[in-house]
Amino acid sequence: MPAASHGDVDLSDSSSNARRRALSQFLAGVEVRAFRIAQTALRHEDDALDAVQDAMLQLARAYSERPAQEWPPLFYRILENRIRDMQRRRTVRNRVMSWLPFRPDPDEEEPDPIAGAASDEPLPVRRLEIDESMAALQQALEALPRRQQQAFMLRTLEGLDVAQTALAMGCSEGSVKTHYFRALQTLRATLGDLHHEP
Amino acid sequence: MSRDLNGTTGFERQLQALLQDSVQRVSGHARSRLNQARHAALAEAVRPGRGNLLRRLTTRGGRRLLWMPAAGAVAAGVLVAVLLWPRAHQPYPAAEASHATVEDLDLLADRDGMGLLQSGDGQFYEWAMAQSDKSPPAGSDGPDKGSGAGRGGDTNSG
Repeated sequence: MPAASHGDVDLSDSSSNARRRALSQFLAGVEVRAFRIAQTALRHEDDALDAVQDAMLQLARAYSERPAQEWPPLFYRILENRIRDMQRRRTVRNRVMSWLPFRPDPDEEEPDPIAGAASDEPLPVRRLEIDESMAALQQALEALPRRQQQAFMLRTLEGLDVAQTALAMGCSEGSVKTHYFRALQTLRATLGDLHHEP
Repeated sequence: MSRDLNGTTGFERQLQALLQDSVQRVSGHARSRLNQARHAALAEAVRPGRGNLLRRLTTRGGRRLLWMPAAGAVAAGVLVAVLLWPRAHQPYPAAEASHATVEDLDLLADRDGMGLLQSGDGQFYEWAMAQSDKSPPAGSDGPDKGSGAGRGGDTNSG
């Protein structure tokens, strides 16, 4: 930093640098889990990446000066709003597209050659079992009502407590408990006992 | 993580482990894009002025209320200046109008002129018309001088 090279001690600069580092650590810590949450809700990788990126930008622009302990619920609140916006847009787009005589097939997207490349790593039986369990869980999660899915993902994957989850979802703690309990009930009924614990 | 529901701990643990495993297996492409997004967000956070402006507009409603009237007053001032600017730089019509008004008043107040009109003597007007048809001498301030001399001559002769 230029200030440091001149030997000046700029408290505001050092404070903003510390805050920037803290924000960077926070975002680095949550970004992949947030992506999985968005991916489960949107069922589309690129849309999920866009939603997480928008949430990061919004948090950095508007709330970077807020205390760090407020960031998790704020970030997931923003992310949830973005997910909802995308779902609404998708609904409108699908309605419009359904009226068109010719519409592109979403399955005809060009495949990513890197993602589709065969891996040299052999897939052991164990890996296949875990993948099967995860596929079943993913399908069951996607079938959950949105609020139940949200409560379950924030509590189980992100590890937010009930109060933080309530802040992120914009509802009461009692509602969080209800959504979470119902989500668990549905998942248990759908999946039964998972035989393959990773 | 605290548990507020009994009897589901083992099942929850299994689900949690599966989800964590899926997080670990997120593709490199997605991780790369998330990394880029994080850096873009951090750059946005430290951009000078941007954060302060948005903070004023979003989180401090009171300052926003102070901001908007000032900006509105400046905008209104600029608008008025733009609208009035062309007229402010057109002095001739206004000056001519005021000059003509003064001349009209001068004519109305001129008792000699009214006397000529009332006397029905058209000789002065015929002479004035003839004078205006002639070209004025070069460099002279002729018309006023000539008409004044004529008027004076006629009035004196009359």
